[in-house]
Amino acid sequence: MTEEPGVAAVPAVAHAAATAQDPASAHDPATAHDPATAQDPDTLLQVAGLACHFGGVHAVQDATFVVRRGTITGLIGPNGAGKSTVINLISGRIRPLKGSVLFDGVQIAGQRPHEVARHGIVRTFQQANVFGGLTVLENLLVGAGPWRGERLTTALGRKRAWSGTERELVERAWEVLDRFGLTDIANSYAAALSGGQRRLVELMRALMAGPKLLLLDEPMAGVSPPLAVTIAQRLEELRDAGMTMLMVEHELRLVERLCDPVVVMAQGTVLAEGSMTELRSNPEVIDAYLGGGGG
Amino acid sequence: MSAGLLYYLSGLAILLGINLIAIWGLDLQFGLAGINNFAYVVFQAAGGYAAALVALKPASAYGSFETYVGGFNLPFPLPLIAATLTGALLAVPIGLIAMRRLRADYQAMAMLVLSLIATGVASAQTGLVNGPTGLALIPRPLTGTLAVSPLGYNWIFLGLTAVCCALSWWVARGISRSPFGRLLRAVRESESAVAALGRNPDMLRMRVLIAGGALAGLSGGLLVEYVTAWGPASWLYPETFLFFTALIVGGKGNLAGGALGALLVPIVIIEATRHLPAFGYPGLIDSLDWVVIGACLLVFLWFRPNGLLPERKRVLSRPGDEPAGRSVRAAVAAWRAGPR
Repeated sequence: MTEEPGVAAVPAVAHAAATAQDPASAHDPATAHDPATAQDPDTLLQVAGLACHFGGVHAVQDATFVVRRGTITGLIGPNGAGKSTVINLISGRIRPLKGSVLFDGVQIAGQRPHEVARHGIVRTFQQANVFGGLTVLENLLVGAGPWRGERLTTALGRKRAWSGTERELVERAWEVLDRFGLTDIANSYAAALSGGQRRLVELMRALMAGPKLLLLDEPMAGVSPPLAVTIAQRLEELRDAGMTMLMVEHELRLVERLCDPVVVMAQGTVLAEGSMTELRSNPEVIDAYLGGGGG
Repeated sequence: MSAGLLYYLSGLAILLGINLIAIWGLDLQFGLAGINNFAYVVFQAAGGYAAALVALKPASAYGSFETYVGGFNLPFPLPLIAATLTGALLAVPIGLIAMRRLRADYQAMAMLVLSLIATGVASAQTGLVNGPTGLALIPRPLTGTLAVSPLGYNWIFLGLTAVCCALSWWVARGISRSPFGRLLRAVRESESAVAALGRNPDMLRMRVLIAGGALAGLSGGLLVEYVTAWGPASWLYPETFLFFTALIVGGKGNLAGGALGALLVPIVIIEATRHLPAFGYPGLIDSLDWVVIGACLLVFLWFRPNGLLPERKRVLSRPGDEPAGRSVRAAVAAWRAGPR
């Protein structure tokens, strides 16, 4: 772990604008846990000292970084750096051994996936995780909610108790499909779609949930290049509309286009943080990840 | 038609109705929510015992003929209500034991083991429900108040079964067409994605286990009240696979498919073989029943896994854009809107 002088105890306010430029590597976990380090209003997600291991292997040790509102924060690093594990830790799929995850001022570390989602964090998966036996529209409708119509008691009552809201949701789902230009697959089974289309369905479904933060785990993996460009465009539009995202991605050109700042992980820890341009001139990052191509 | 044939056919129709309720209950759990409930027959059995113990007089009333707990001597329809509630309540412990923290295939194994344990307990604890011999002399509903011929009583019981079927259909259709049902199908397709969208898949599965368990309990109650006896041999674990086969052959996730399966598998296959001329050693035909059912299951899983009447696609059109003539209301609305 790299220790640079002066970054250990970053005061909350000074942290606000500086973070992106600061070559801040790992914070000292001791100060990160300190409740006195109040979250500044610009920060949506603050991950500090997060750690977990599988068996004897430290998958993530002391991951510390922030996601500011309205950014697409990139998370890059070589295979096995622990990027996806970090997403799984934040989303509650894996319980952290230690560390804190502050989301909008609320401590969510160790909560279960559905609890995390209810705070407004919706994730996508490394393997597009759609409901194959449901149509695209139905996938989107499951994204919206939870709402009253999904209760067993409502289901046993009269249709009128839920059909009104259902109609509004169907309308909203069609709007999302319009926005993504995918109305022609609205009533196709998700299982019948291509890998790239599934990614888009997953993204649309996440949007139906009205999230505050989207966690995207390699949203372009296994997607044909033209469709990847489409996905990138949609993500840009979402960012411009004020959505905050944390995105794991391998394709660096797309990262450069979409993400600022970018967090670099290697061997379970955060190596550096900054814009892609800054990272390209960071010798440590070049060494660990970017290889000879940088500089 | 002779009275004997009518008696036989009405009895068959009653069994069809009872199986229908059980298969719709399983369809909620397995077809809709994807729960491999290999302990399904235990829910039916529990409902059967509940109905029996509520309807029977205390054991002392029959001398030392049989031993059991309870015996409340309560009139119709209380035994059936008790059966339904027991099936529903049984879902809670079974769900907690078998469904939490286990992957779907291990859930299936845990369920199967629970089923075997239940049979063992019911047989070994002779004071509970009369051990391996089972309960007998279970009073039928309304027998004291109705003075009718056996055939007349069958028609009345058939009417009662039909009412229960209608109720079960209403429950199953209400769930499967509602947003709750959609969520259950989502759980079936991907539990992790459902959780990532803010719903607790464990709770959703628990709810449908309760709803399906209630239907299983009701079917058990009806069955016991009709046949007036119930013992561990009536609900051995292969019975669960009879229901699964019926559902897979007919078509899971489709109420009509479940109904078709209920007709084809437990009635046509099991009943038809009874009328075969005897061959081989005694009991051979009964054993062959299971071979035929197992083969049926395999053939369908290989060649037509969605069954004869597969789950229907739910096509949702854009609101205000529904195809004309789909419903009277839409047609009226279109007429009022005038020419476009």
